[in-house]
Amino acid sequence: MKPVLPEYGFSALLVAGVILLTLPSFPSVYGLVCILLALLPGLTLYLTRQWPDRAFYLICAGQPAVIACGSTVLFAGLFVELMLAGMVAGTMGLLVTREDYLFLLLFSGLTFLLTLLIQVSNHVFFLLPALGAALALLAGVLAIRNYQFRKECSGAPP
Amino acid sequence: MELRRCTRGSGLLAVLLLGGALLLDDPAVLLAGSAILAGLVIAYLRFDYLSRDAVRSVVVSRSLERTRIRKGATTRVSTDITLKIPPRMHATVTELIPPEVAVQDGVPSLELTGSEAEDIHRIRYRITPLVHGTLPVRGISLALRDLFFSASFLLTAERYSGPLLQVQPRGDFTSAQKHSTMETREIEKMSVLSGFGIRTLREYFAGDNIRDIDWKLSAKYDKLYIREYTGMVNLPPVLLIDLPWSGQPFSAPEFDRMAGAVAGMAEQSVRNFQYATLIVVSGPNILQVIEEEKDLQQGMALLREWLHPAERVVHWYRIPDRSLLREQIRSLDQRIQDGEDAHLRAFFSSLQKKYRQVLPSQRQTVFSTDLARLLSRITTDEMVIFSLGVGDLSHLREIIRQSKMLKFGVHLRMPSAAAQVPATSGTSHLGADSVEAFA
Repeated sequence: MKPVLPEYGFSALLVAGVILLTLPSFPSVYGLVCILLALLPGLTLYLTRQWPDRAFYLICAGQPAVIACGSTVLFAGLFVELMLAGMVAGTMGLLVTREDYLFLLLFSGLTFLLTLLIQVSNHVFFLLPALGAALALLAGVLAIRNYQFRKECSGAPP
Repeated sequence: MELRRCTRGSGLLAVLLLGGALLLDDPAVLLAGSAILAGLVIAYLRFDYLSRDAVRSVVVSRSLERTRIRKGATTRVSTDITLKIPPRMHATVTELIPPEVAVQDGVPSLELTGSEAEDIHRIRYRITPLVHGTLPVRGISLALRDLFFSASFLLTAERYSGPLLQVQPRGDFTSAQKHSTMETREIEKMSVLSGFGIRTLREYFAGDNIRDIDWKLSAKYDKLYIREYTGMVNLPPVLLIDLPWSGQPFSAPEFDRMAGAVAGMAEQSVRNFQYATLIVVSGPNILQVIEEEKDLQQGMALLREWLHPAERVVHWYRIPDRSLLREQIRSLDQRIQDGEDAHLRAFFSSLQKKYRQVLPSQRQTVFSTDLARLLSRITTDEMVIFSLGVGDLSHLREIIRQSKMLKFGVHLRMPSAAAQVPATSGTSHLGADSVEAFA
């Protein structure tokens, strides 16, 4: 019997999680829409199994489910995003080494933090520039670090 | 660092979502967009972490076949690279060759895919320096890529570079001889190819070579006696291959046919005469001399190594040798005497004057000197020259001239189209005894 690939496991968890999280609160059409959108990544996973940039198609296919579930309960959107990340990591073969799991954990922590921030702030208008500034600061730090490493490779003293 | 297609697409999606979140003031859309950005940031951190590991694992060990060579000579470079490429990453390792050096053959780069273990990889290639001086191999370039990012690192620290290649200068002309004047002429010295055994001893007659006098016998009988040496027959022909310049277009099918013809003739020479002598040139550059190669497999391996377009350090364009110039002057003398038209006579006089002006400064080229030295030590009575006949052919004229001086029979093999061009002045192409198309 062929072992189940991790990305299909995450896909099943995604659908199950969406059903559990949205149906009790929204048993109407909206809940059904969320479930159908949750099936979309799984379908994309199957259809794109021979395509080269599979990760991109999965990310695109998963965002409607994130937005739909996030509109009901923000942490439901987070859950969908994390399952989607697991599916993307599985298709790229990034669930093998210890470092792979560490980076996945890092992503989970970062998105949890972002969700908390979004939950706490009232409007997007104030949070977005703050996130942009944080990203710019991070880019600057990484650029300097990169420059120092390249200097070291070219023979300059560390 | 470059963003790959997947990253650019995901980044664009994130920007669109964030823009939408700003317009709609929707936290769920903001979550979607910021999560994609977070994912890209984590992917970059992962790529950066693994790339640094890969770069730090690189160990380079490089050696040159010769570290001191003359400009235009060829030397082999062997580089052993040990590194660990992370799984699901691809790498390209390229040697940073100085621009003053041309790669004659081999590929100075490697394509690798990720694996768990640290592997040793080997790069082999041959280089020809085009200028003199101290030329270092600066190091290597390591380009890493995964699905989202690609980055290139120039590893030029001391531990990745070297060794230094010392290139001695080499002029295009030999130093001017003090005794040469306009009036000197080359004479074709009569020489009969002789073997090493003494066939007989006989009395000296006027005209015999005085170097053949047996002085011991002559002193004994008080009469001059000379040694008659045995003759030599059935010598294998020397094969001279003129490789096309790598910077000039040429017909690949014709080159393949030429390579096949050379290999066939070399094999025949080894089988019938027990050895083959090959000279590989490219224009006025002697690249390789394979003297009396007895091993067929070794000979074929050497041919496979050298039979490809080559880089030329020296280029000739309509270089006349001194004897050709003198011949032109004599021929113009004749035309001036015989000519009836005054305008034509004036033209020929003017042309002759130009040739006389050029002749004193016409120096012996290094190629001519090296060729003379090479041909004088080869024992043969025939030379077969293989050439595509592309570009300037002054070097072939010089080779044929020197070969004819040594009484070699010279046979030119060219592509069928070039071989069919009719010869002028009753002589074959460039002075060769025969011209044939190679099969």
